[in-house]
Amino acid sequence: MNEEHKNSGFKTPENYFEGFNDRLSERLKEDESTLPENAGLKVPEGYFDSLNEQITDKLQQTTSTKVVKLYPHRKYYLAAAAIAALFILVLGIQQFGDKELTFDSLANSDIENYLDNTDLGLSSYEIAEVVALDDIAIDNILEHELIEESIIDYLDENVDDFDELNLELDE
Amino acid sequence: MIAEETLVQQLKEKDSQSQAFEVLINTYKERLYWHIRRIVLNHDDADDVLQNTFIKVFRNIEGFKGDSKLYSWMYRIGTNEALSFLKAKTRKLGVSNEEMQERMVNNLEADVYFEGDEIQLKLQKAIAILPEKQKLVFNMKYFDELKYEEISEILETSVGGLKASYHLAVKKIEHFLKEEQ
Repeated sequence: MNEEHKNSGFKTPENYFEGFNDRLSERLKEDESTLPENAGLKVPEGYFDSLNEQITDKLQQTTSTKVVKLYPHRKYYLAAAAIAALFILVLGIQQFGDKELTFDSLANSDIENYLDNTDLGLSSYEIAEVVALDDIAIDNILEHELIEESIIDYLDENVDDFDELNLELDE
Repeated sequence: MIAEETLVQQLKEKDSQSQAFEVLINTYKERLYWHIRRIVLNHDDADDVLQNTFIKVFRNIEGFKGDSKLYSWMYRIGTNEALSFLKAKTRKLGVSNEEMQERMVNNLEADVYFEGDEIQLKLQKAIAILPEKQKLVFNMKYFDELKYEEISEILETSVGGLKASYHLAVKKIEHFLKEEQ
């Protein structure tokens, strides 16, 4: 396996690596959830030896190749378009200039819509990392009564099995 | 090993440039290769992306201000190159991201440069279904053995967020491996 190992300042007991594979195999048998230590990927023989030359060649090729422009007059069109865009922008600013856009001017529905439809890539753990506990409006939940309909809607959407709730009949 | 600042300086000067570039490649080629390979999975693709990464580094070294470490900067370029490469390939094939990931893992079974056993293949399948960020964090932490602080500098994400992503990734992978058994 052509894996590389990083020296992170740690050291190992003597002959640790010699017996590692066997110990790992044993461990794999014992603990079914243990993840394998490497990814099983390998490289062609001598790949890293010839890599420098390949990169240098490629770099020289890309440097010496003369670029032939497909649209030699394109820059003039772009310049004209840029001037036109600037003109429109100036007119726009003059017309709507006094209305300053702030966070408050966004409708709540727009914000909710944005959050619903945008993959922010944040998990609840990550959100918890950045939002301090004090900022979470817990009072909103504790001090305001929820509309019954909302509770039923929530349970309907989020609970698979109502038996799990252990509801008494008279509740 | 040559100090990073000196290397950067030499890379920026015409006279010492080519020799310094050689040193740069020798120092980082394997680390970057494995990082990229774990994203694109296939050797030929990794080779393409790695070469492009070094070429980008060379062309943009003038603009490197030293605000982050050189290797973090290179890792970032490598990561972006690998992800852009995959996106372009996905677009070209006209498939969804999920389909693309599935294809990539399925191709591993016939890949001569994959010598993983059943559990390693399953691990790749589990990694393939993770969201992009969790996948990156898992690979960098688990296989590249980078520290959270280093990953934080490369991905420009908070250490707390990274820890959460890694924790979730491990849980999902363990769950997947158990389900598959």
